[in-house]
Amino acid sequence: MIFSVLDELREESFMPVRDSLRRVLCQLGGNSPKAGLRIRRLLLSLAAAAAATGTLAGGFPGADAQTPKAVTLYVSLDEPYAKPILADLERRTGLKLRVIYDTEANKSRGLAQKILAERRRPRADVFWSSEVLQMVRLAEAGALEVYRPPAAEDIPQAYRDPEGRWNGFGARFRILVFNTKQLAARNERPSGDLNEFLKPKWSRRFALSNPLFGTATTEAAALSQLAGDPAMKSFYAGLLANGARVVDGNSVAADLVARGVVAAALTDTDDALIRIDRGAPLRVVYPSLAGRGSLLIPNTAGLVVGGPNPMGGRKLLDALVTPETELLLAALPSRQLPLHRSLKQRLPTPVAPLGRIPRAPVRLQELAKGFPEVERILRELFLR
Amino acid sequence: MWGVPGLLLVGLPMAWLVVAACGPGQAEPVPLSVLARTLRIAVGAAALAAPGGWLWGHASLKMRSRRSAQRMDDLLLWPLTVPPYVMALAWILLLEPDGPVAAVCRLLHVPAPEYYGCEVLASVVLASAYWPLGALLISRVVRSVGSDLIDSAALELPRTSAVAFVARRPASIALAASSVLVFALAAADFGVPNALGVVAYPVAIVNRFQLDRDSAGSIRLAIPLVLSLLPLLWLFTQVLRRCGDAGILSVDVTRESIRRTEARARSPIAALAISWLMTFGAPSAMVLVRSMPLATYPAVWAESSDHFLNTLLFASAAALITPITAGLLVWASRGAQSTTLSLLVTAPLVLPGSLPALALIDLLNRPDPLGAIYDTPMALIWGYAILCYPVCHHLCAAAWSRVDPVLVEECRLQGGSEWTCLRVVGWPALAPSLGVGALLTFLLAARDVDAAALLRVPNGDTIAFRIHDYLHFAPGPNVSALSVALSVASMGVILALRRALEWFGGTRDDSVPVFSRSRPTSFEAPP
Repeated sequence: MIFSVLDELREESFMPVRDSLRRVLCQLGGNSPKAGLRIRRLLLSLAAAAAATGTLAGGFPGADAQTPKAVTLYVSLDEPYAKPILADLERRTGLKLRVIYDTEANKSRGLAQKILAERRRPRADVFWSSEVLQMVRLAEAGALEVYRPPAAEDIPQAYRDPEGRWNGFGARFRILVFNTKQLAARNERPSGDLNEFLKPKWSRRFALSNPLFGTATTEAAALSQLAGDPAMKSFYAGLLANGARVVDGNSVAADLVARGVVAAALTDTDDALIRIDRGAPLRVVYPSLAGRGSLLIPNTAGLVVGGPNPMGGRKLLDALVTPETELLLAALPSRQLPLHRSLKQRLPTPVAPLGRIPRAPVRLQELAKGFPEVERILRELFLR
Repeated sequence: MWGVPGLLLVGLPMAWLVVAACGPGQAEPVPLSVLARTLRIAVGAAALAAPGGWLWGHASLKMRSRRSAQRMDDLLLWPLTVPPYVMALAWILLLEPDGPVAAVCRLLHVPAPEYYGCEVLASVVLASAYWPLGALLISRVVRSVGSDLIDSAALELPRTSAVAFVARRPASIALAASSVLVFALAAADFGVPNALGVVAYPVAIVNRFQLDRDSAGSIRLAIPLVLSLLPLLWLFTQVLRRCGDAGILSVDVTRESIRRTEARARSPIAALAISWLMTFGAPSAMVLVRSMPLATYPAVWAESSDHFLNTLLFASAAALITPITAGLLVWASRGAQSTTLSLLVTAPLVLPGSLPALALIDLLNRPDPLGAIYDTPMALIWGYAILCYPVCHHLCAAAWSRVDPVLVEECRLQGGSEWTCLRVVGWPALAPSLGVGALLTFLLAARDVDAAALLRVPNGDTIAFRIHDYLHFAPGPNVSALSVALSVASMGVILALRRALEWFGGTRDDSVPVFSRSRPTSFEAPP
């Protein structure tokens, strides 16, 4: 079979190649008259094994990659919250979504780096990040396409890219969470002053997620923007010097407080609120970042440059960045705050109090500008 | 050329590891403290696992019959059905504020131990997860001691003492080998330290990769760990070779030479029972209890049925590819194991599972044609195949070591082609090992998180990955239910494995060549 194919390569230019191949195949087969037969049998056996493997692999739920309705989506929002939204999006758009979720320990950064690493052959159509910094970095790196979903015009300028490469929706606050039992045992009062945790009385009683990943990175970049790099470095170095525990993810930080392993932690609203719903002895305080308000971090979504299905990606973005999605996110246990102006006067009850919390004046679009220095400092402090 | 698929399957990514490690890219080194922590954890695990293995070997020596010894081996299989990270979950549940350990501590007015970031607990969990491997090895070694030696020793000593005297030396070697094995597996384990929030070396490699997505840099980071493990790997391959020569790795269960001793079962059964309960019974019961109420299971099935299906399909595909390629390579090399080949095919066993995955990412994340399989299940299946290859290869090599090479020569002299020789001589010898290898591959692939955490496929997450990720959210009932489901499925595979062993072993007799039942000993030249 192989040799018959080779014999068809009659052009003069292919002759040397053909002869070389024939020699190699003859050597591999033992250079005997039965070489062709052996090779054919081996190839048939391997083809049968490969076909069986392919059949097995092809039967999995994400196998329909090449259909026009398949859109590949990278999501760093927690899977339990994202899944109902995505099911609704599939129903509304008729698209078939192929999803990769980020891990809790490597939030947003892992998928953003994956998109950058795949630029030679992009795999994702849309990136839905649970925070903003990595999206801004992707935009600055030229990995996002300009596309403005119709409903994005209703989102305040502060929460979207002026050039239309990404749009924010459904936001969460960075918060402090305290274990009420521990506070009561020591007759302490929860404080919203982040510098409080540099004091000896909080030594080894405070936790934060690794600031090299997730919303904690955004917080570090925002702190740097508002207070400067030296203040940011001094804050984190002070926390480490005071024995703060650096853990894998905001969820773990909140969990340590809920179990009473530490007394307080920096985390996100969703991680604290779902534990409070389950009856954990927690109290939430909205800290003031550099004394200028609490940090509100929106979800963001953008279209990946060169994705396999750009039309499907646009259709998905049109459906994702909408008030409907925001209302769904607000209704989930994670209680994310809608950003569309049209929803401002009719915020759902669970999230209405969040709308009244003073927000830090962070320029999200400019977070990437000072980020290299921020990252250098964070790596110096937190690379473990 | 029969060995080409096997060499491509394992050799290409392993060679790529070396190429990538020499390539451009820069990454800050992992602090030496992380390496020291990893080695401390591994030493602790090996030290904790050794007494269990020794006791088990000692007890199995004194079993009155092969059936009793077989039952003891069966007991060892149950802990192996629980993936190490599920064992970590069990210990997390035991140590929770509302768990039994905390309750006892409250009664005793002592502070309850904290699991998050606890190195000692990581050692304990890894020892719990891996000690049965060492115990199995020791138990099989001591039971493979030749009866002629025992008979000779029995001329001078009482029968029991003779058995102990003759078995002491091989048991000591097996203990050392099993300690090396547990040490290497513990040092390379990602799931347990990751679940417990301990920054061990394999965790640091994965985190650094996620931070920079620099495969070459991350691979280079692993060099200190790899250099630490390489001598152990060499040592282990030497022991494996000896074990293979002695038929200890053979799937033929009728080989135990010590069938009967005059000793009474005075073995430290109580100590064994306690260690078995501590390392398997209590943790498993805790996970089972925390997965209740029963309504959790339908709920978990509703949200994770795709993950179950993915696990089944991907692990089955790996179970199909890996033994076939391993069998072909063993056939091609006629069981000859050069040091290089031995190191190559054994390396994935003791390297952090993330390294082959990183090599595959570096190899496949590029334009077509290689890029075409990058985000398909084939990449993940390839990763599974690399990680499980050593098991299949050594099983096949051990099986092949029992075939008289004259038979192949005879086949060829009578005009049989390579294919005919493979079909008539190779297949009957290798088939049992291929079957067992396929089952073990399925088992190991279904529980893998090292490769699955990096080789992500859209809509292709597996149950093991789901458990690994959910452990970071909170160890709720759904995680426990998933863990129970995975462990029960593993037990099903183990039962199938055992039946296969019985089937293969029970139809054969030591006195005749392994192939003679099903195949003629003379051959006709093919037309």
